[in-house]
Amino acid sequence: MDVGVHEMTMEDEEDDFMLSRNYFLAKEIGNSSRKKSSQKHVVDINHVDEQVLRKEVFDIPVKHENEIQHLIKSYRNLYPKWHFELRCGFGLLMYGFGSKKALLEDFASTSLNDFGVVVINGYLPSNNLKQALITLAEVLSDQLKHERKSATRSKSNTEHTFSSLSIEDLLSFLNVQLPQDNNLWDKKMVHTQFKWSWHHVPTFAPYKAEGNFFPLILANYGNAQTTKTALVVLQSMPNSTLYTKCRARFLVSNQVTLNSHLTEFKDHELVKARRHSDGQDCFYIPLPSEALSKLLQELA
Amino acid sequence: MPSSATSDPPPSPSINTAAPATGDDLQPFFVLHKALSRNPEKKVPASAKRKIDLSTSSPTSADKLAVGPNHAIYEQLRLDAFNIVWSKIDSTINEVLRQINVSVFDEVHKWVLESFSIIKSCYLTSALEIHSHYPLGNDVICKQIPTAMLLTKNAEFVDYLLTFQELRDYLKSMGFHVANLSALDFSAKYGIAGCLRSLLRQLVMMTPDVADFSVLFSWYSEPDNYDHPIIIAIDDMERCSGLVLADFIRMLSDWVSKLPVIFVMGAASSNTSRKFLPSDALQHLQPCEFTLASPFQRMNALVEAVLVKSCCGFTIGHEVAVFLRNYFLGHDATITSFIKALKLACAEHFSMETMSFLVVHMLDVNYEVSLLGKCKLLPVSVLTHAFDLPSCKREKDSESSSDALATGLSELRRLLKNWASVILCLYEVGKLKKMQLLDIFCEATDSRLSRLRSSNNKLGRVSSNSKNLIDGRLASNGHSISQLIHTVRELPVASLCKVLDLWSIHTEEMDEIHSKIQELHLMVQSTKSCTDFQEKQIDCHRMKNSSGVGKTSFSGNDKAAALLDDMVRKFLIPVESRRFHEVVCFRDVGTLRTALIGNPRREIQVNLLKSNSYIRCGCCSSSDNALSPTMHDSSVMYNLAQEYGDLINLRDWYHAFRETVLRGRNNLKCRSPVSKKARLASESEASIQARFCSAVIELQITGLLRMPSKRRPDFVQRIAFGL
Repeated sequence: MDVGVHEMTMEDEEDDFMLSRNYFLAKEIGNSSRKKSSQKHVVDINHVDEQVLRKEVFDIPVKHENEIQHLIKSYRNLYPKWHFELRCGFGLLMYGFGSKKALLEDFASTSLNDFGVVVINGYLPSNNLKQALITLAEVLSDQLKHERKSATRSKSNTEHTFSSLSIEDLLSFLNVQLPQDNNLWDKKMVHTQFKWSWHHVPTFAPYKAEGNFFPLILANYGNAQTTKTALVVLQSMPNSTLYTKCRARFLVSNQVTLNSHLTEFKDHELVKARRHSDGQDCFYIPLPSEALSKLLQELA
Repeated sequence: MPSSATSDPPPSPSINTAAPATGDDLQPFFVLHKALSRNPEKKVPASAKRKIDLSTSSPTSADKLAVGPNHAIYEQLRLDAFNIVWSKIDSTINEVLRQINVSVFDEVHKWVLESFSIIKSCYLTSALEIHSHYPLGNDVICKQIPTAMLLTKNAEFVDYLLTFQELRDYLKSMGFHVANLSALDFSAKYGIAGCLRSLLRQLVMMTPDVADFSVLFSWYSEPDNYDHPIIIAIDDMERCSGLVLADFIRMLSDWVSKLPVIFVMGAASSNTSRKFLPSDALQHLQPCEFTLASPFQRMNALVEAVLVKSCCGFTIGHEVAVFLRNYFLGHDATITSFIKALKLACAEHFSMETMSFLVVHMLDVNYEVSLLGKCKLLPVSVLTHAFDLPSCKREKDSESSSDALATGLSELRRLLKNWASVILCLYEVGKLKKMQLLDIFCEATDSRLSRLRSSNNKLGRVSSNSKNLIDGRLASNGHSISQLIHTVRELPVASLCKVLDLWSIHTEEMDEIHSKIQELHLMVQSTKSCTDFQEKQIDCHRMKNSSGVGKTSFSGNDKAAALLDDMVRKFLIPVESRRFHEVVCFRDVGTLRTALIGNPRREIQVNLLKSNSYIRCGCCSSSDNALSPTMHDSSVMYNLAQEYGDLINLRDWYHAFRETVLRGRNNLKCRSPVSKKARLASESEASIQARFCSAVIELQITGLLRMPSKRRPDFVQRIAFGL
């Protein structure tokens, strides 16, 4: 048995060694292949239009849907254990590939009915930690009120620790300080300050909600077509034509004013300039058509 | 893992993982549900609870009970047992750590009082006589601030943070004004104003627009505040901005004549302040060093109190003990992390071991009576489960009744107590060799070594190959106990007397052993007295040559060593060799390891590279190395990514993915029903690009990739290389 335990310790050290080894191997492979691929650009891919791409992303069918359902349902056997650990004062840290949102909400809905549950969608960039804490305090306050009404129930640990119903007091009691930076915790804090119980629960469920705010890596290149179209149109219009059109619509009265407007637009990157093959400057608006339409609507 | 028919979650619809984002998904947070109104009676079926509570239940009525050990009521009992046991362990830990600190705290307290009286006699007059709000402008003499330097001996920050907190509470309880300034208060960002504001906020209970010492002086001049020292505690000097701290010290030194400020600072060693502060700030400090207990001293005290002495109803097996020891070392000897790991082990034990609820009854003073009474009330199904434990199955032809269970548990408790007594006796010798108690504990729990000991007639052999806690690795050779027995043979008489005295205390409840120890103790004591008397005589030379003295002390050591050897053989039987040990002993090191140490980066990569072992579909290849187009898209992508270096060319990657997906179009042998829509979708360029984008997002979310930068717009960067 002692040998077995000894081997487990060596396995950890071997993992660290392999991590370093594989990193440097990858660097080596990367350096040798970088030259070969330096001429291969992502713009060379035959990109589809961004709108079409977004629609297709939305409609991607889920592979192995039944098997994934079966896998996630198998974790229901662990709900009592997770519930027990929570009641022992531990937090649950679930990891593994695949969205765990549905799993966690199912666990909370089925096994945590005795407790208030607040879901914080941490993947949203607009998260306001302070507001989340206030909501938590409100739920906790409600829970305490429930507990007080139950005459037969002995005082819970929460009640012993905190007896005021004021939300402000709750927040003060929680004594939470907002993090100074974007890192919620580091590795040291995980092991020393938090009481996590780790659980490996890969689900392979798609990251539908979590991936909403990530840019599509092939999306921006779809604008090339729109930009080309705009460029063609503008190329066909010499500057004097542009000035004539603006003057006809009483937008500018002289070339100097037109140039000052264009300069300001260029400063704000609303308009960009490119030198055409015939040597003339061509201006174009680097926005997709739908964005332009929306802008015009809002301006109207 | 106990699976309970009645504690299963109620049937619920399938977990919908494929639904598009709903309104709730786009809210930063929302209340899923509030707590239902709780009725304690609802948790347990009333009929089951009533039957179990019946004190006059006959065996016949208990037979009719269908409640098994996995029933909800036993789950609640196990949770209650955990709360009771851990509460006991926690209070023991707090008391131990408090006791370790109390001597240092007393010293600091006395020193603060002395320093304050010196300050008063040198500088301060009564509050009524102080008119000037500003220090004397012409005072060119360098004023020194008394500074208690608490040497942490490289203890981890989180450990001595708790100690500092206790010290602050202790000094506050003595009536001193105490303010705590942390590294955040001494940040370069906020400068001197930051720490001043924090100081005023804590002492004066206000945050003025202009932070100035004169505000503090005005506050101190009030009759209620005067005549008590002002303690400024700084947890860790090295984490502060040196410049800001130096400025603060300089400014404060100008006010020493008006404000009796005393520093209490944490530092790793004596040289810390000299290396950290400039000399002109250093000259304003009048340091006095106090040393906190080292992490190993604390660990010894913890192990003794929690795992050895105290009958808390929870203990750990050999593999778990070794794991926790390595965990302690692996986290820079952090006591806090060790305690957390122990708590998790305790929680896992009560979660997984169905019979662990009985532990509560082993804690009673009259545990034998308590166990007898409670075991009689147990239904037959629970009794059957108890006697199905592996430790009971080893003993054939054993009785399977409630009385047998109660007797077995009582016997287990008694044997554990004796085992603990022998460990304490060994440790008394180990202290003389600076051996760590956790090393002795690990060896004492090893069943393999126990069997070796029982077959080995000469336990006192010494091996030089063993390593211990201080050296930082496993004591895999298991000769610590042999070393200790050998050490007894070599002890001077005076030391042997002291050791025997301590053994006598530890073995008070072991009648036979206790009387032998006392007898031996008397013999050695008389030998020592005789030797002392004889040494006082003028003719020392004749006495040294006397054959009687040497012979008696030699036999005393031998007898003590033989007695210790006998105690080890008879009583140091590891708990895992005992019947019913599963009730009190946690042994599942695998579960503890995975719960304590997640390895998400590695595991996520394994998930992707061996997805079929989780999804278990029939369509994907069963071979680990084969890349099947029916695999999860992110799996395909990550498998392809292994062929690249640290940077992946997006164009190449996309074409490889496309080729893989299209290759499967003709060779698709999917047994799972694939909709027509899915087939068509798999063929369109837009669909392939969409799947590529989606997979890249998933790999980004899971922390395996970094997106292209402006410098390298055509490449993504791999972050993980673990496999």
